Amino acid sequence: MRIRIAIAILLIMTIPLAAQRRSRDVEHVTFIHEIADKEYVTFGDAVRFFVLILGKEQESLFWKNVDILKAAGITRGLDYQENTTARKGMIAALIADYLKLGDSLFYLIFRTERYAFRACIAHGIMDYDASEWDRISGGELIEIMSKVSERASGGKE
Amino acid sequence: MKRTTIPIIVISIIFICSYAFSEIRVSSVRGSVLYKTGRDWKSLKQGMKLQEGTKISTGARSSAIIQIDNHKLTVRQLTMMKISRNRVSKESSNTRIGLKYGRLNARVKRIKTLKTSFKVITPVATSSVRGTEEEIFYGSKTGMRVWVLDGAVELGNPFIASRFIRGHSPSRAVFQLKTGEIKPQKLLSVVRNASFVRIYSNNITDDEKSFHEIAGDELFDNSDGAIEFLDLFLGGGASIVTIEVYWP
Repeated sequence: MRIRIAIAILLIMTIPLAAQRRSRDVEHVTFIHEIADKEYVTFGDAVRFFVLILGKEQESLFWKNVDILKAAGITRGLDYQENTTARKGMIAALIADYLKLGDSLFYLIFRTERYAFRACIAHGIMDYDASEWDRISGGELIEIMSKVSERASGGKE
Repeated sequence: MKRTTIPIIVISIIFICSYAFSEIRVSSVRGSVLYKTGRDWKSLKQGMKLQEGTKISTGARSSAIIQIDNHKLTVRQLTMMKISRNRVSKESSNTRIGLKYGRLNARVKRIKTLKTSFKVITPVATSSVRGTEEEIFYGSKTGMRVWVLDGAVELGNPFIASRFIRGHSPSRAVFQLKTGEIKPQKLLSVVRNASFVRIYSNNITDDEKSFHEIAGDELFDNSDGAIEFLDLFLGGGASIVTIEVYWP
């Protein structure tokens, strides 16, 4: 009898956990589907995507997601508002800080979005036929983040 | 019982048996991977059997391995794909995968007695694997990229003549067709780009070489005097040398 009660308690405890996990997976992938369909993404979208790349749980509040990035060592380029249209330079600044792309002298000296963007081009993360002022589509953000995630994991993803 | 009933039943049994080998099974799942057959997305689990028309989508740091009959398909992270068709009969095997975005690895096993067709279709081109292994990427900006790791792959779309690429791991030949372009890039463009190296003057020191490695061509000058060096900042000091390199 005791064993049955223990099993029942265990089941009661694990079912909500499994359901929670499933709902997180759905939320995670649904977010990527929404991004894929966007003509242009916002800075808030990019920050949320970065949280996923870090393997952390997304928060509903923008500033909480920003805090997750800060805790992961991304400290530059986080001063924009959530609804600001994302430019390639903004995303490049986050990437350069996360991947420690410090092999461009001008980026090392000035730490600007312009040279962060150039550093991303040099590492094959972004395309050379663009500018740091270009807006970024959802499809492009997925491509870029995929490369960032691959690099961060040493090509094991 | 009508005369036609028995032949219909026999033909139906033969037809069903001939397609009974077709099986799509999930070998492994890592991270957040969802599938969709009807309206809703559901979590993909190891050991699940899937049907034709199933869409699969992976999240960040996630992947899935799908066994399609004898073929192995690895769905890498941040990918959306659909198993459009999978038909197997005694004579042939026919599989179509639609790749909306992301990256796949297809290892196609060719059986001599079976006519095998395994195609990965992206918005810009179709890759037809012929008993081999290939890595396929599609993104809205980059377009389609195919690395042939083993065997041969036929690539094409209605606007370009079909191309066969043979490869081995690590792959050197990369098929790339950008979105909106008709002509694919040169197969050895990756090798070509990797072949361009920095060259130094014989007169520079090791420290200067290191500086060049860090600074790249942003702040580097071979001129002898300070005036020429300053000219670099005024926009007139650098020399332009035109080099023509011919690739096969």
